[in-house]
Amino acid sequence: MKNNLKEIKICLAGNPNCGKSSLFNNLTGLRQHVGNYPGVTVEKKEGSLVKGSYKINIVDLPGIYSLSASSEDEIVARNFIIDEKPDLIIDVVDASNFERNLYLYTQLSELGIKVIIALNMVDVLKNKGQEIDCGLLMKNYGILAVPTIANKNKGTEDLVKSVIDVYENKKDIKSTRIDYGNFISDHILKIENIIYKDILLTAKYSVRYLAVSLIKHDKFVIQKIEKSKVYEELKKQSFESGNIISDKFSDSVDSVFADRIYTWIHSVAAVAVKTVAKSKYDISDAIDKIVLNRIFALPIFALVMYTIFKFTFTVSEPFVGWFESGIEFLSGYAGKVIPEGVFQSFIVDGIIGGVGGVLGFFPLILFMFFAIAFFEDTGYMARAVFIMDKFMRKFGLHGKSFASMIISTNGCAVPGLMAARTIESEKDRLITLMVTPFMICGAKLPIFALFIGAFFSAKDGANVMFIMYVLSVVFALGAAWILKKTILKGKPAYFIMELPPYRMPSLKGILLKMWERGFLYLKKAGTIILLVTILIWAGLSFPKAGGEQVENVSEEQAASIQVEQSYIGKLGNLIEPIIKPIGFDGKAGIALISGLAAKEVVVSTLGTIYSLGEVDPEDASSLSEKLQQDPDWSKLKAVTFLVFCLIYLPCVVAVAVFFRESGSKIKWLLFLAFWTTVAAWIFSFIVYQGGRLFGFGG
Amino acid sequence: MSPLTKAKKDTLLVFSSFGNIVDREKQKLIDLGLIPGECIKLLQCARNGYVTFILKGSRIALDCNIAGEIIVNEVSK
Repeated sequence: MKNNLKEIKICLAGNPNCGKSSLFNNLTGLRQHVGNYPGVTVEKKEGSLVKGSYKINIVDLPGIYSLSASSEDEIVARNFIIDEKPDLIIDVVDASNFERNLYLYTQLSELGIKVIIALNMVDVLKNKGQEIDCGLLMKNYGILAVPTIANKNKGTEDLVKSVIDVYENKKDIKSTRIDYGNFISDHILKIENIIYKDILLTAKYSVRYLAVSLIKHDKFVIQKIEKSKVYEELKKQSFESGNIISDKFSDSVDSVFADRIYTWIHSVAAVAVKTVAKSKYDISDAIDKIVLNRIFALPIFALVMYTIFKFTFTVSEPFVGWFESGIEFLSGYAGKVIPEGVFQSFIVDGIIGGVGGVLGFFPLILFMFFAIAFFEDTGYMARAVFIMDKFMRKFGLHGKSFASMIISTNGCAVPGLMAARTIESEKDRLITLMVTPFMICGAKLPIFALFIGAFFSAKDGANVMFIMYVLSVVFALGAAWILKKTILKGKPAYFIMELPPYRMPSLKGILLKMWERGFLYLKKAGTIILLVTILIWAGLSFPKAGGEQVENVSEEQAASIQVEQSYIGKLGNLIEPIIKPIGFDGKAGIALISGLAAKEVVVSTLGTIYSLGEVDPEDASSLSEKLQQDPDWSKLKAVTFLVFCLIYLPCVVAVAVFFRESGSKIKWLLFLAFWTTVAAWIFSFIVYQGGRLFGFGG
Repeated sequence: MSPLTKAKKDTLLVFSSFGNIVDREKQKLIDLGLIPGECIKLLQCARNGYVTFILKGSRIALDCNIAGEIIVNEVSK
């Protein structure tokens, strides 16, 4: 049956923040990240749906304003459309911004690929007192537009039906041909005639698209035809035509073409867009007057950030306590019902002690995701990027670098690193990649929460955490400044960004996002963290210390000897001389090394180490209490440990993504490894030895 | 005619030409609909030159370097 399905390859293209990913999720049943700011999708995502006898393979592309791509994410979208040649393109058009969105449609339509418009956000247009007559679009221009409201999953069925109808030629849609006027059209024709001489070119690309792009000196297209037998002739004619057109109209050739396209778009809008009611008041401008105000913008931004952290730590505190109590209970219960021995140690010390330590912070992670999802969905995120641009530039970064840093803080360094694709300048992008791992990602959060909870009062916890977040930004900015002044010198990239309208986030949407991200945390706990925890437990439990060593000593001392004699204990002893000057012992060293697998593993490793030292299952205290009681730890050492965790090498997955995003160059990878490790050691040394010097303990 | 950074707030402006902007930046602005004769409305102009304005119904934010190179005519009400 499956083999009888007809396959249709389609892609979703459209301007940034027009609802492509929401539509993709509706069509495929997948859950791609969506948000109210441009640049949420930075790489193509694939999914499919089966409808009747058709299997529709769908690719969700990053947002583009036109086919003249400049940033990495835009290039991904453009290359797919030009090179992969889908059977059909769904151009997702923001109905409330019809004219601007139609610009891309005209370019897609000239590619010779069938295009359907998903006229999204018709509800927003209605609030503006307008509607678009899709019947007239079809009748007068042969444009098939299907109204949708993607965030409410409306119109999806009609869209799927239209895809099948158009694929089967049951609907007569027409390719749009812009009338550029006789003068320009003659030049297009001249170039088209040259293109027709090379059958390889005509077989691969739309002749019209090539001709128009060549007149506009599109570097991407010029590169595409480099191997053509008519390359020289084309290059000569297109440059000549481009210059003649530019001279004739006393404007750049891009402006001349855009002007003709917008003239056509304006005529379409004049026919199809109807004003049916009085526009409702748009509150966005009024809010922007306050949040982008030259005096209030930065204080409001700082207040928003502080509110997120205060909310997260204050509200989650009782929940974290309940989780910890639950895990302690489970540990005690398992210790009672499982007979003493290796298996008990494996379950109680290894799995519950290790993974349980990480799971204890699950409520905190959820509340953090909740708070950030709220601000993401309102549209404030794009404003934050704008507000921070000037400030970021002082340190050699770009406003969009801030988006990378926030996304990293928001959950994980991996999407944060990938978000750097939206930065047009290669050097700015590289600097952003180098400093984004300094942010306190969701995986580092349990480490911070553990140590702050153990060594600071509940009242001070949120403030200390906020200071740590500020410190992570300070490190990132300082590092960026050094890079910009030394190995990555260059002019900063421009800042042009569309600010989305403010929207009231839906509780359902926020809870869904919170759960999706939280679920990833749970999944990680059940996979990589569990695996590493088992390895750490085995490494700490074997070889077994025995004989005279553990005779006539207390059970606590025996456990301590076991840890010291184990494989991992020996490794800890080996690295201890290097980390001793920064106040750490072998246990801390082992936790830090294991954290390279995933940062949460630092907590699970400490959990396993301290569980092994625990002898009475009924007295299963929480990990933070154990750290508090351990004389090897102090407030100063805890802060030093957090500073080290803040700076040192990110986890392997983030390192792999860094490698890919930095152009797969070994030199940058080695540089990242070297500079994060050395910087972590130096700053930790300063904090620890400085703290001792000023009498903050040892 | 004046650069966008010097234009009056809340007035209707008509885009005239680009000053010294490199092709990539110019292309981006054209893609957003900034072509000669296009009406724009300045929303905010910060002391550091950063501006926000409405272009084809969208709010666009620019840094001071670019905003200073966008030449506009003020239209009297």
